Amino acid sequence: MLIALFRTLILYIVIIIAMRLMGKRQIAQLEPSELVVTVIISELAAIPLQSTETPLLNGIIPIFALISLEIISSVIALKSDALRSVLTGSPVVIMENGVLDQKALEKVRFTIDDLMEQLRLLSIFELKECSYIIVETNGSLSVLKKSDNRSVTRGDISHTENEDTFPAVVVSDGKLCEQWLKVSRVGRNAVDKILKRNGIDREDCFLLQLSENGKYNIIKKEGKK
Amino acid sequence: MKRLWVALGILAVLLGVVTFARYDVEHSVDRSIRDISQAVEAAGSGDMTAAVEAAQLAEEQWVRFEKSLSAFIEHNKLDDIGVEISRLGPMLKNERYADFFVQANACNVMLIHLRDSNSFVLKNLI
Repeated sequence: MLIALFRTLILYIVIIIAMRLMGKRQIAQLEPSELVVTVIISELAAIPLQSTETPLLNGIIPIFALISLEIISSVIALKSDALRSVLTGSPVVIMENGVLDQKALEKVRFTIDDLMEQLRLLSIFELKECSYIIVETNGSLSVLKKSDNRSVTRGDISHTENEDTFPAVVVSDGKLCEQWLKVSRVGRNAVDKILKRNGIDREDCFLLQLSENGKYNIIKKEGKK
Repeated sequence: MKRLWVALGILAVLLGVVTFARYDVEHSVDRSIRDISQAVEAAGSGDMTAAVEAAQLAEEQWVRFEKSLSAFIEHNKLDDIGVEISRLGPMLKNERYADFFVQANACNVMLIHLRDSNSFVLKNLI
């Protein structure tokens, strides 16, 4: 049983490394080839987990081979449109200028029920609200609504004041976050000045969020005066 | 691009591992078949002491080979061959010569099957 425990531990680490190598993607964003690789990996890992008679390498070698091939093909696909189209397919426009292309719908094997269901998930209940509908390579829909049905944006009302920038966490639990300092484009000195102005030592600061435009939010550690 | 080099590196390592595995299987099987053949030859020429020694050597060698082969080959397959080889010596000691020759032949067939199932040939690919 100890062997089973350690084999599980090793395979867990192997799979984590393998998935990290594949990169950050959510399940819904997986391209067809990535989905296939992910499903096969889970099967491959299950075999040596269930049977201690099977060498771990019988699972590990195919897992890493698949991941390597997936990475190589994705890098080649970045350079080659033809391979990208073979590996991931191409987006299909099923509605253009408000006209539904029934042949394209048939090509992507979507029934009208499937289409309406996907649209409802995007809070669209009538086809006439849409101007363009595109089936993306991962099967999800991208919709451009007709101008009458689009929400009003700041641009529409000519409100162009640039007031919001990303509020980065520059101090967390008394420690400087170098990564976010770069994002907020401020130096350590600026952080220290803000803390000094508010009469707080860095060690006593629970959170300092700072935007590029100089706006900030400070939370002291509990129990600190 | 860094990820591509990592992937190519992993493939190179995997290629190294599978090449070593193939070499290890072939070397172990060839050596075991040679040991068993020596026992058969000695038994055929009536030198039972040499035959018993050769059979025992084959058994000991296989136990050694099993340690590295178990990383690549299913353990029950290796166990089966080990059990069959371990019967050769006692058969000679108990003067069951006819059984010994049959058993030696069976061991050779099992070893050849093991080698063939791991060789890089079209039959195994499909």
